[in-house]
Amino acid sequence: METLETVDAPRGDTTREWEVFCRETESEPLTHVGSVSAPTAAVARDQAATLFGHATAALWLCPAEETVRVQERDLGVSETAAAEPDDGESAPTMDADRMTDETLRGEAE
Amino acid sequence: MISVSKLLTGLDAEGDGLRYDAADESTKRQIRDRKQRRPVVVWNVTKQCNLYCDHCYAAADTGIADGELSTAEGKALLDDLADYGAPVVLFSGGEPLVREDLEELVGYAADAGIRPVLSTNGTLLTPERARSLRDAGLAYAGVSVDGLPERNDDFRGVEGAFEGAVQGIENSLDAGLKTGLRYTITERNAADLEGVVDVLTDVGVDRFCFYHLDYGGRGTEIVDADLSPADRREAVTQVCDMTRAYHDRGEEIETLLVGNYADAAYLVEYAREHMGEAQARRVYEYLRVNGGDPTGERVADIDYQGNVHLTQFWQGYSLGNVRDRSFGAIWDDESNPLLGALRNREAHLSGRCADCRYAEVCRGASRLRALTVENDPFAPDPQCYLTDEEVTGSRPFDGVASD
Repeated sequence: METLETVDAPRGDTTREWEVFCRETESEPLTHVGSVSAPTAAVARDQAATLFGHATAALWLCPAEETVRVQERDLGVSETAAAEPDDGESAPTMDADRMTDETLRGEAE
Repeated sequence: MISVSKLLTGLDAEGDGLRYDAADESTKRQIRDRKQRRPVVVWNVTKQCNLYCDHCYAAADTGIADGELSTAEGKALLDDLADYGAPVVLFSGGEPLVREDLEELVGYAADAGIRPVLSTNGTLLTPERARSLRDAGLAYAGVSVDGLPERNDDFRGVEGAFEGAVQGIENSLDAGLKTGLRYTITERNAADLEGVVDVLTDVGVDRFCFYHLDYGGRGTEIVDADLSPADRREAVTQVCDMTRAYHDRGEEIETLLVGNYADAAYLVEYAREHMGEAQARRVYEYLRVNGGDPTGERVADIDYQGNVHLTQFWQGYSLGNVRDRSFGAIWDDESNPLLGALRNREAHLSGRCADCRYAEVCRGASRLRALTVENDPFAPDPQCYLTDEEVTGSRPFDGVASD
């Protein structure tokens, strides 16, 4: 790895996200196997056990917002954003008023 | 996705190359070669929506969610998908038209060689947006309607949503876009199904996708409103009968069933009863090539924050995030025991799915419904509506399989 960046974008919105790590047998390392959405650690544990219990000797869970992700990959943001300076940071979406105003309801136009 | 019109009336359609490896026999433009083996990718470009539908798998609402992929990130993602060979990207939401850069992303996908298609509620599909999407290269717009006006508006939480969607459909058709219906069948709206098809056929729609309710997002809150197995069987029979009736009148409509591969088995049974053994055998062979439920294999989902899901409906579990790894690296990583098991699910399915004679054309149907209702991703789909007699015994057409 030559350049490491911290990825601080959120992984969940209304429900907490929990990173799941699985060890298939006692002699194997823990492997990241994705994440589950759950309001509490207990629910997250149950969900992970349901999905991975058939194939695992150990499960570890960690709140996604407490997980620091440091890596090379940046989904091309640095390159593309440099070429398109107005384009790099957030998704351009309608605000609520405009969304309501522009909604078709079958009235004569 | 099962094309009833292809299987029962022989109607040619652009998706046949993907669905049945039938590109060579088609007169329509088809997706071929490596791309046939890659998943169709649903990208929920936003969680924001101007409606509030009871069954929304993405649990969308009017607020803007944190962390939506930016335009630049979206383009980088599309580059990833093109490199991987994804044949189709389905822009979905939330309501994708609330993104002001939608045309830019659609155009970028088209230029990268990915077929861009759209899933929308139609109520933001103004004449201007329809034309700009057409100019950007959009290949298809699927508009969701879930009943005749009163029922649809009740489902979608906004009065006038039905009329708005029909207006959007007309705008889309006027712009020259291929446009179709998406209809999620539940107990609440099954009675409206044919009425909606009649209304929209008059408007000029000729493609109708009927979805079974899957139990994700707000869909988990209305499981009680789902069809009973008997009513589901009746609704699917209605789709089959209607497709053949239109065909017999010389009015070709494309009809598809999505979200419950018990339909594959039922279509074989239907063909045998109404069209004879030879047609049933042909239907079975197409469906065998189709390969059954596509979860974790032929369909993938990327949500508005870049999380990769096994299907668009299964938002509660993510395989990984495209901000961390490329889509291809995530999708090909079968060290993930769940992904590996889903792709080898014949070894894991339990109950009557384990010995079902239609296993190779169904593959257990929805794993998400099994998980939601039975708390077991390999239990039988609770919405299998086949009788014990139909699922018991040896494969229906031994010797058909060519592999």
